[in-house]
Amino acid sequence: MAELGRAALVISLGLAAYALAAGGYAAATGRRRLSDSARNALVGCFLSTVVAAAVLASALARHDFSFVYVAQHTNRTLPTMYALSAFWGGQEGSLLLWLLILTGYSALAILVNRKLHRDLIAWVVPVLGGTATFFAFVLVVIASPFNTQTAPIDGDGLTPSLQNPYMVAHPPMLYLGYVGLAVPFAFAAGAMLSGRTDERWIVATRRWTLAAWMFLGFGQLLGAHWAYTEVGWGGYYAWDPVENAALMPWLAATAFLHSVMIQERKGMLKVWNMVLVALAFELSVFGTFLTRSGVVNSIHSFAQSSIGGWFLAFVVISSIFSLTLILWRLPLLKARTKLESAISREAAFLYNNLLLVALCLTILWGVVFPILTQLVEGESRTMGRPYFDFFLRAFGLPLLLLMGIGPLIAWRKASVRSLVRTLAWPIAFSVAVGITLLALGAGASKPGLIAYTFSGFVLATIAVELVRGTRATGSLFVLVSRNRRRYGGYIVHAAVVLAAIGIAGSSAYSTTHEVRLVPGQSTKIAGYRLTYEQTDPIVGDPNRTGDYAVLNVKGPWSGTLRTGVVTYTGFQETDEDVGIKTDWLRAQDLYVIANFTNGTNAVYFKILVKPLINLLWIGGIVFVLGSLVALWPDAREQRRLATRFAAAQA
Amino acid sequence: MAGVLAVFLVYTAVAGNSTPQVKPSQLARQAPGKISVVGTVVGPLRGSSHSSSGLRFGLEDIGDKSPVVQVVYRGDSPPPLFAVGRHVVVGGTYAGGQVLGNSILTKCPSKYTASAPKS
Amino acid sequence: MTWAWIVLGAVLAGGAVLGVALPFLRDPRPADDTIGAPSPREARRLALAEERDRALAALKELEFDHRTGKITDEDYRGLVSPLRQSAATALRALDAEMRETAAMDLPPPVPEPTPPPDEGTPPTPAPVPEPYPPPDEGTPPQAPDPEPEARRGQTLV
Repeated sequence: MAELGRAALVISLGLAAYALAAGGYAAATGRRRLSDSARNALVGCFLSTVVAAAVLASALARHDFSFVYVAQHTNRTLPTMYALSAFWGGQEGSLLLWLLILTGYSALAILVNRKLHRDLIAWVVPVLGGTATFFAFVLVVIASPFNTQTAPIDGDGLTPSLQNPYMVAHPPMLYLGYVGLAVPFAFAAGAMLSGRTDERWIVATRRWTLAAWMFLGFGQLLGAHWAYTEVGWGGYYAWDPVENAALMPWLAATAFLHSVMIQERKGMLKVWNMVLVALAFELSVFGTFLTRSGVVNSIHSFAQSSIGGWFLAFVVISSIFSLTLILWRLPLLKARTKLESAISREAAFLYNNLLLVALCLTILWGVVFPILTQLVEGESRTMGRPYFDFFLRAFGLPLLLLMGIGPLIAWRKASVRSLVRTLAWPIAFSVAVGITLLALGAGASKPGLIAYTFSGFVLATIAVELVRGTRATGSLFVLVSRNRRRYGGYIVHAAVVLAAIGIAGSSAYSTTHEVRLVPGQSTKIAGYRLTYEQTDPIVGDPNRTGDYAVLNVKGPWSGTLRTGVVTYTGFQETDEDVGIKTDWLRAQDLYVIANFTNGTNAVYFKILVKPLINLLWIGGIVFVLGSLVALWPDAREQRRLATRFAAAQA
Repeated sequence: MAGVLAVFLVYTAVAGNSTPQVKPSQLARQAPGKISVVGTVVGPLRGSSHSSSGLRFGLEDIGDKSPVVQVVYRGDSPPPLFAVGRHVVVGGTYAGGQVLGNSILTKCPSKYTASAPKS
Repeated sequence: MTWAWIVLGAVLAGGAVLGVALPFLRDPRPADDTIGAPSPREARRLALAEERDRALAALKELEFDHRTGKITDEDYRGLVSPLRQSAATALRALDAEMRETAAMDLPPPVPEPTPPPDEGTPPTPAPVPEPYPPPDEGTPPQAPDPEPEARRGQTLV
């Protein structure tokens, strides 16, 4: 059966290469049948990849250990759900998932748009085909999931720390996001290649970009939640290179999503948009290069692999391609209208672009710094947490403020007086919030206080918009359903504010305390009194050994907390099973990590109280809701667009 | 504006918070100061990070039998994945031929290694 | 069982080749094998349609912002006329473009029929007395405002 998988991948490679070569030639010379043929090849590539994926999935489900990949990542006792999730648990399988999603998205995008945008699609096919060719090549030549062996009795199994629902959801969600950015990139490249100056490519890919951005954002939050609850070091984001690898394309995509609105309304920022969409795509492939190559030390240790070189080459080649395209088409992209005033909504969007790109690039700089210093000085140096935290505050706080000002500032030119008048209520509200928080002691952290005040400002602006809009239309539902993009966007802004409050609270105002306790002793932290009562060993489980410390908690919340250390026999792996109590009423988490000592009954407890952390997770849910509202198809908008294209083709 | 940003970035990179990250075999050439060492943990593990004498262990190059460097780690309990044979990143200061560590980062055991054909 | 997979693989490969060859098999001698790239005329019309949509959307947004109180009456008065002008201009330009295309696409004019043979000059008719001049109806009404046109495509939220 592995032969079928291998054959299917070879066929995928052939079809993708044909889509690239024939599609490019057909688009350049304007041949319809050849272009249709290339398009069919790309769709066929998807079908062939489905076959390959089905072969791997079936082998995983059947525990077919003659597949080297299956033996390396599963064993007989592994539940089917995790056996299937091992599909993306290793290098080759995750590459196959990437190719599957890429070809799936490509087939869908070109089939949906084939009638309406024939000459644009003619160019989109070779661009997507080129990307698919690269991944298919890597899968066929470098990292095949279909290597075989004489089947051992049992496989190596999946690391216990990966046997949780997060492993099932987090990687596919991220990939749906990463790979999704290839579609708007291909359409943008297609627009430039076909020499069109209109906005068809933006209209065609608007929902794709939004969906990919939503998946990427949500996937990152899943990862953060996983780190917080399962990995158990007390945090949710470590500025680790692999984490940053997902954050950077997301920031670029955020800038792009906003910036295209200006191109649609005013015909400005065209060059910015081409650069942003290319940046988002290149960063997503660069991210996967960082993750797989082992070139930067990361808490997610993936061993040094030669595959990194190929990915780097692809990123370099496609970046040169994008840059050349943009420079070649620069005359076409020049805006006809100029920015009239530094205080206007257009200007606000421009500042938004600048801040997001600045944040993205500073993170990129911090990530590649060890590689660059290694090359230049012969000795690698890393950037620590303080570097990233500083820039997050330096760029993130102004961005937060801009989220409130942007929607309320007037187009073209706004006078400071009219701006202040519109923002009167939100400013007053945020000042009140700031003073109250100062009185409550939030002044302990200046950035935290600023973050809270700005958050109050933005929430007030959103509330004002909703109230005014509802009063004008009579119904909130009608208001939102008639302006889905705008109000979906406001809901997403509210989600970002919630996340900002959660991040500020849990980092700027958290309390940490490490203490050594013997049974009977207690300690106090942030109004809680924790008493270490006893240790319960794990009994009766053939796969796990370990101990759980039982703590009695009295305070704003009273009850029992269990926290322990678990060793998985057979894997020689030890995991923290931290005790977390989420106190909804007080909006904070009580988080306890246990560290047992050898030979004594004393236990070292690291106790953290993290205020408002749950707003980060709630913000994630609201983020998805807002994105869905903005994504929802609008019949009236479709009709209007249909008449626009009909008029052109009449 | 891009120019200003570039200058700013270069400045922070040069003057800012960066820490050299080295392998144990490179430590001998290192001047005393802030350091970050990446290597494999070598036993035996002695002592405790909470005591005054600290948790003592050795560190050698990953994948290479190099001279072992002594590490004295004081501070929070090391992360649970910390064990002999693990790949870790120890942050701290290098002085007197020893690494005085105050942070340990262990790696999450996900497997993106290349699948080698065994038959 | 390996041969079963080989057969499946061959079927997959065959399907791939078929899919790729399909456009050529379906249409071996096409009348026109070019990709319908839009002519300069079509491109111009698309650009004008986008211009129109942009102007109408800006007007609609201004009206909405005014209704929800984000823009004061005085700011509104100042902003609405230029926007209406540009919307009207865009609509007129698009209309002109459409009419020009329609005119160009008219079927070729039917040739005048041959004139009947000369039947001789008709007799001069009797002079018709001048009718009384019509009463003065005053100045004719003004040309209609461009505004109703601008409102045409707009649906109030």
